Amino acid sequence: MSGVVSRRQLLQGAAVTTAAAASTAAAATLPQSWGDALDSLLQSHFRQMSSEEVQQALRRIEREVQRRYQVSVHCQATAAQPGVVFGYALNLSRCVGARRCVEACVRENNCPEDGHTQYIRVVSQDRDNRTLEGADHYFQPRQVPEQGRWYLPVQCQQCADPPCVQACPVQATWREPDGVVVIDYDWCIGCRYCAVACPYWARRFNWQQPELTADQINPELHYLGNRPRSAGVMEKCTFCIQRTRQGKLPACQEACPSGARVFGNLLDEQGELRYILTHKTVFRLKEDLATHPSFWYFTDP
Amino acid sequence: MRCYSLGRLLPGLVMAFLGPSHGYGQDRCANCHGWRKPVMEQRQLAAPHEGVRLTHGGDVGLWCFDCHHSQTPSMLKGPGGQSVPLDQAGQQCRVCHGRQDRDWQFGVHGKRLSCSLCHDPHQPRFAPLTPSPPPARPRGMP
Repeated sequence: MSGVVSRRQLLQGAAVTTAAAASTAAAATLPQSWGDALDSLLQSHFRQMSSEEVQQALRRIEREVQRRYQVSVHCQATAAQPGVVFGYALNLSRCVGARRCVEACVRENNCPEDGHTQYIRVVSQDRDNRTLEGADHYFQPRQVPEQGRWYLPVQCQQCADPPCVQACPVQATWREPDGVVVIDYDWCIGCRYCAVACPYWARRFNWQQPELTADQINPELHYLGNRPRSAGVMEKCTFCIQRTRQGKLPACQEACPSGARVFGNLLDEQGELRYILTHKTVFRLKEDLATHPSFWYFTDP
Repeated sequence: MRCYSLGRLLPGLVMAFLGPSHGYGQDRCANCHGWRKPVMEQRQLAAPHEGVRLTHGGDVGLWCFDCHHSQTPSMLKGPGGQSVPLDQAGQQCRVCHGRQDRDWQFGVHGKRLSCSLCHDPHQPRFAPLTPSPPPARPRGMP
């Protein structure tokens, strides 16, 4: 700790003193939500919080969700496991464009069901089209797959050199050791620079408070993942961090009706992903931008 | 024209009489096929197998005994003509689908389930699906 007191620390100290004075004076009368609001305001950056502070933040989030939606939830902040870098591979020969992944993703990640916040964008293309020009993500035929079309689901590519992270002026988004690019929703200022920087159109902004009902809430939350967001913050796919850090598969992988999606640990030499990378024809989206995605597309011969 | 001779109708009638306890199932094939002679040439399937739509193989035109064992009912025909139990169908699928089988062994062909849990062996191609609704257009966009 340096001897120089930063502006933030000074303000924080002052506010805490004031809050402490206020709370001793009126602890019995002030509602808990006021204290939570103050805590949320004074909360530090996720990576600078001590483990006690993280625990306090998690309990605060649980109380806030409980108050807002009348649902009891469990919020965790499970850290990345050593020796794990998550990767994804998607078989374009298998994808039928049914958007079941989108549906599962929305439900898993507590996104509103109005269709404005979907992390996965399935793109329908003409058979002869190999570029993203002319790609249609509003396709709605009666049945899929359609004759002469192919489908390309695009979500956050969890780049190793993510342009969105570089664009953030307050470092509210960063790449975790397991390769997942995450956002501290309490630190995001909503400037949307990251959304502009992302070449994959993977980031979604909450222009207004997401509309969720109690029965739509997935009660298993992660601080960096699917906890309910508020208006004015950015959000994106986190490879279902609340599931994958517990050893489960992402919701989109489980929902895929044709088994096109393969998720795993890139560092596992015997793993499925390494098999695909060595034995299949793979490509990464917009490879020429050198963002080094952890997301590969492959085809069957 | 379909022929409704007694020989064709009889098994269906017998099945209807015996009820579901003598219907399909691993140990029940022999109820009929234990004493009926296998028909090796292709024809329209009659009761009780009228529900089987055989599209497997496409233009190759597979017939029952390309996969089912003709001598031992309720068994499948393995790669060398030996009989294979129904729950080990994968042994038989890989005779033709070696590439898919290799992928499956490494866990990269679909889900980690046995073949027939996802694919109907008689119509292995997945039925078309109705897609989930598309994303909403940005507010204000026509």
